[in-house]
Amino acid sequence: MVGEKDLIAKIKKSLIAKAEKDPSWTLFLGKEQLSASDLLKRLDTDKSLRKMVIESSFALAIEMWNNEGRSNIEGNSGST
Amino acid sequence: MKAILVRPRFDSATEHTFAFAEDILSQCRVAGIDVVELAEGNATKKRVEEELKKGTDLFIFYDHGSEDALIGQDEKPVIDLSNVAAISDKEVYTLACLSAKELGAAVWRQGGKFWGYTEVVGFTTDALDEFKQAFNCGFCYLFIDGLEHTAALDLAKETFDQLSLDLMSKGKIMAAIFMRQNKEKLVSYNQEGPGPDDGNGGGCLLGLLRTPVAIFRSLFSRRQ
Repeated sequence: MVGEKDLIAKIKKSLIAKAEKDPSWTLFLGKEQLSASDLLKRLDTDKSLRKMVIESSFALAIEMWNNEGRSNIEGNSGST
Repeated sequence: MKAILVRPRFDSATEHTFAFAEDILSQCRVAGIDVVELAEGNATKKRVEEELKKGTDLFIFYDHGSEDALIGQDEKPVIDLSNVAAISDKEVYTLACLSAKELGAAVWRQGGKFWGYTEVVGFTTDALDEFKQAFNCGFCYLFIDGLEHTAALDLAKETFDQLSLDLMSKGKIMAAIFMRQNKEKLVSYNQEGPGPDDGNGGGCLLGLLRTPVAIFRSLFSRRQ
């Protein structure tokens, strides 16, 4: 089962890939401007940001799952 | 309908939101909304108050905010609790961090309508088109399509959801996360639907008591 540590590791891996592919990638967070490497560091030090990222990732995964289910139901309902 | 659009541009974030607001300006013109633009050097408290005195139905503000203020070109408030009455009988549409929290609540308590965000807004450079669509869609639902606030908010949140799922499917994970987070913090305070969730259930009595306290606190904090 994927735990929080695994999830953060995956997210960090994707940020590292992002930084390599697009060095100009930036997150604007209010008045703050974070590069991918800045964000990697923040995920270690900013507990509330880390918590938000973890919760949002799980919520998005569930939404994608629900959405996939809905799409399948809608797709099947038109096929008879 | 008359509108005022305020859009400062003084840092990297406002470079992007300035561009996001360009679409709002175009939509106003296409829809026949008589819009006065206060951009960059004109996005100051003095100019905003001058234009508000001439009368408007809709006040639009794009970019930096705080809990009790919308921040202009000089990085000082164009609207805060000291002059909130100037917009409190109007429709207010914002893309600004945090400002729904106190400023939006103050507008609502004085009978106005406020569209905005209760927390810090985030966006990423790999999904600027998607964030522009999200930030601007409420304007379209309200003032072009003519939906009621509650319906417009529901539809806007669906748009944010769909965009975040699209971003996930494109592998733009952080963009998807912040799109979803922005959705969670988007509110529309209006007189038909629920008001600010401040523990008083949106009731006006405690709100009326709180507004002078908030104004006093704002004045005191500026003197420090």
